[in-house]
Amino acid sequence: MKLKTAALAATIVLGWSANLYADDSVYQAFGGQTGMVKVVDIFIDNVLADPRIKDQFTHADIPHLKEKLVEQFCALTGGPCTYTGKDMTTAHKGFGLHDAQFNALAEDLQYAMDRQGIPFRTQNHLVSQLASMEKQIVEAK
Amino acid sequence: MPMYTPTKCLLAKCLLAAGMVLAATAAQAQNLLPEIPGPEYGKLLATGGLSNLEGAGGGGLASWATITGYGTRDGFGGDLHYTYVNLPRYTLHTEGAAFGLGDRVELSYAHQYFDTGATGQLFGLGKGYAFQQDIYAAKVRLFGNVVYDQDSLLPQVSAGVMFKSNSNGPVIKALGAQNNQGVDYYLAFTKLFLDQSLIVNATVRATKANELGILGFGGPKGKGYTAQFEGSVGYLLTRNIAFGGEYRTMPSNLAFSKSSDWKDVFATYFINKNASITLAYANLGTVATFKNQQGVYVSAKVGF
Repeated sequence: MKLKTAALAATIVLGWSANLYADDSVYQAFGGQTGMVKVVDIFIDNVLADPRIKDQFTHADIPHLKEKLVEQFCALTGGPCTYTGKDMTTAHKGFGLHDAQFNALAEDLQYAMDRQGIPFRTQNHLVSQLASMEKQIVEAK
Repeated sequence: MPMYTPTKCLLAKCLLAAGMVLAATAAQAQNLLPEIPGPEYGKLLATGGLSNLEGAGGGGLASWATITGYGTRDGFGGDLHYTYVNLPRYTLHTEGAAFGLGDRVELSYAHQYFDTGATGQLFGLGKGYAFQQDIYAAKVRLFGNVVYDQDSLLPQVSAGVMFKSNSNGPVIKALGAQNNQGVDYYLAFTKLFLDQSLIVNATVRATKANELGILGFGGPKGKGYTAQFEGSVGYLLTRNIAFGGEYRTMPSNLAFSKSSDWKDVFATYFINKNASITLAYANLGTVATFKNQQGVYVSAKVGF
């Protein structure tokens, strides 16, 4: 009995997810499809100019990357999209990424969202979900 | 014995802190291309925390599980801090430095200067008598990551130790304290609910310290370790502004005075990745027999 309770408690603690939105209000706060496309455009422009990480994108198909990011961000914010790209582990495998690079990318995204006038607390709804992906993306431990 | 002149030192320290902030900002600005985020984009939302009254990374009153400085797992960082608390009967200055290594270990040093001002005379100590304390501390992050663990309720958990040494041995003993040196042990649990823009901390501390150790350790009413609690809640209003409140319980070891729990409400402005300033209103209750010791608290932190 005690073991079952402990297992249940562990599942709740470890499986907590505040990331399933009941409606698309966060997506709308990003400006819907148009807004999200613009955020991703600025975001990737920042990344490609960011000396800390731009070299990771030398061989990337940028239009495809932008398309998948819009899909992913749309889905994560409760929008009417399905993400059809690779899972985060597969997509980043072999790059040997460090936390510093992960954080740099997150900064570039935050800057893009600021440029688009997305309120800080709205930004956090997206960033909170992307932050959880660190363990799948960062290989260098 | 050298005379400590608080006003001059305060001004000098403020200028030093201001100079460092300007230098850090200038250095950052030179390395940036126009499209790159400015230095205000921090260790993901400035979760390096503030520096508390004992020099450890955390809130103002509480020690948190976060590791000071900018370093990720792969690097290191650190900061300098200065705090000033103005109470009706006393003033408290704390200055110190902390280093974070590999986002795993934090080492810090703080010096506390508790000026009794005119009140010193009432204790027969002389006007402007000051209690001073050195705190050497270490903290280890045991598990969890406050920023990345957004998909679970798991907090970042750290264990810490503080070696405290008060330089006023005879006076401390005369007040009834057992010792002028002591060690605190604590376990801190910090959770960032990024989706809610909220940071929460709970810390359990085993201590014998009276008023953080400023009035020594142990006393007639308590000779051993007691478990004390400190908690903080902070709301991230914008990238640059956080505000919240804290509460910290204190042991009641001394007979000559009650030791009230401490509380504060604070607002922090993160100037950029390297600097922050905190304005708080702290209520320390009864301190060395004088009730209602509450007042303004100002803290500046410069990181690298």
